[in-house]
Amino acid sequence: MNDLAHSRLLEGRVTMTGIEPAAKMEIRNLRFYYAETLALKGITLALGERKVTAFIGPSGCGKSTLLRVFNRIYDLYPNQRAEGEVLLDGKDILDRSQDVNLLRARVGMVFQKPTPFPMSIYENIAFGIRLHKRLAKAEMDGRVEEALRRAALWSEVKDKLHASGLSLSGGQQQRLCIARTVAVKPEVILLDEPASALDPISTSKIEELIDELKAEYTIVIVTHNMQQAARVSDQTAFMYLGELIEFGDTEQIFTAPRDKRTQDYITGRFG
Amino acid sequence: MASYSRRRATNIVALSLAGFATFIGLFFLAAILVTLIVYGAPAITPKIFLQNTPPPGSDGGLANAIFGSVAMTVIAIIVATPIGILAGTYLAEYSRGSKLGEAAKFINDILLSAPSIIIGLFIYTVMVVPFGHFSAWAGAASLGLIALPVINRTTQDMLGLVPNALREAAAALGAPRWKTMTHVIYRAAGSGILTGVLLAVARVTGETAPLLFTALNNQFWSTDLSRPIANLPVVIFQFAMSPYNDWQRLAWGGALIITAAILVLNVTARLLSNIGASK
Repeated sequence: MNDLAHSRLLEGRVTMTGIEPAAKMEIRNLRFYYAETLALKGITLALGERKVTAFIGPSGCGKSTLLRVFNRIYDLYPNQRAEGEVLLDGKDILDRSQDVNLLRARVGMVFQKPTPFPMSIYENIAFGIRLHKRLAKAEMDGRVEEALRRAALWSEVKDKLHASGLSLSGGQQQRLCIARTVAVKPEVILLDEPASALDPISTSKIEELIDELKAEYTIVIVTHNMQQAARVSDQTAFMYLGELIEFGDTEQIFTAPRDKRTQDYITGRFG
Repeated sequence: MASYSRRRATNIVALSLAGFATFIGLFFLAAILVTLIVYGAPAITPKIFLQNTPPPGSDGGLANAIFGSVAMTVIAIIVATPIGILAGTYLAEYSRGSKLGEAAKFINDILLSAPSIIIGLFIYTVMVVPFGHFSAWAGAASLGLIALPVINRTTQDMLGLVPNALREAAAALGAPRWKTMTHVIYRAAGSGILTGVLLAVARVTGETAPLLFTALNNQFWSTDLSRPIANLPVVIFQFAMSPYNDWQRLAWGGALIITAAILVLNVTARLLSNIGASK
């Protein structure tokens, strides 16, 4: 463990004795625009370090949009913009001076549909590592293996590392994408409906994986599946029409929601 | 029930019309190929590849014309490929939404469908008249100018087919844009772009009009690119119109060679894009 992570761990312990867990990310009055359309109407919340936070809500409520702010992936599109503050370890990532490529190395993202690159399984993983570090062959082999083991994919692909990433099944491709994200050693992992295109067995594998990964990473997951949110997350945020309606411990949100809209949504009355 | 039988009848009529139209198209294609093979095949002997174009009444081949065509095509493609791919990349990836980009795309499409004789006249004006003579360089330039918009356009189309998800995925790992392009997007679009280059080769291989104004022709073996050079389309034009039997025979042979070359290029392009699709 490096010093930085170690000191962060200590910070967490200190504050955990208090009331609030250490926040990895703090979002303050975040507004987001698609051209002139306001999609997020002032979101404020804090994501606990090494916690899994789930975002639920009906389609179009802005949960994916919010996720896409956390690594500034929306920057790829010139007519999208965010206002407000998003603090990662206390530093505003929306600031102009923030290097987005460094940010994305710290905040990784897995998308709804598996997106393996058109290259070998090995290269899919090594690509991301090489972006940030030059490694000798042996060291790279080790990093690739470690990432694939993390994503519970190693045993299935160890004999065909040089086969195309596109030759894998959908569930395997998604775990490859998770491995690729983990390989860069981010601090936060964003998962945008990571299992919605997968069958139940692959889904449960991904969920197990999330459970293991949260020991080391701060995880944010967007999901349409409420059972999934209840199973994997520590904290849950319910969003509706671009607003954060309710945010709290998962157990509380699912058993004793304070807002009527949250209750209606989780009991399936709308959405 | 009545409406059902009516729909069935409409279906049968439409299907037979479509089938008939397909038959007409295929019939003429087959007729062209059969005629080419019947008249051209007897001329395909080792001699046609080894000997130069003969004077009327004597024996010969098309070696100088084949060499001239290959040389000019190769030069044209070597120059047009990088320019076309880079321009296509700019227009597809970097100029989105900009007025300049939209205008450039539009002009490229005009160039794409410009009659090749106009390209020939243009090169004649800028490369033949000032130097005072026809040359292989001018021929290659006109072919390159025809290939360029084809490669540019296919590159744009192929990059457009690469899902945005792939760009986002690479960016999400912290890849700068140029690295996303060179390492991920070109890989994904590679076979499609290569297909475009092959189709551009096929397109310029059969061009005659621009070569009449630029490379002209040459009765002899010549490797001097600053002089007129023999080439298959112009030789076919000249020999087919001539009253001499042996020249006409060679013209058929040349036509068959060009057709076979274009066929091979198209089939290769098709195979490549299939590989790309299944990858």
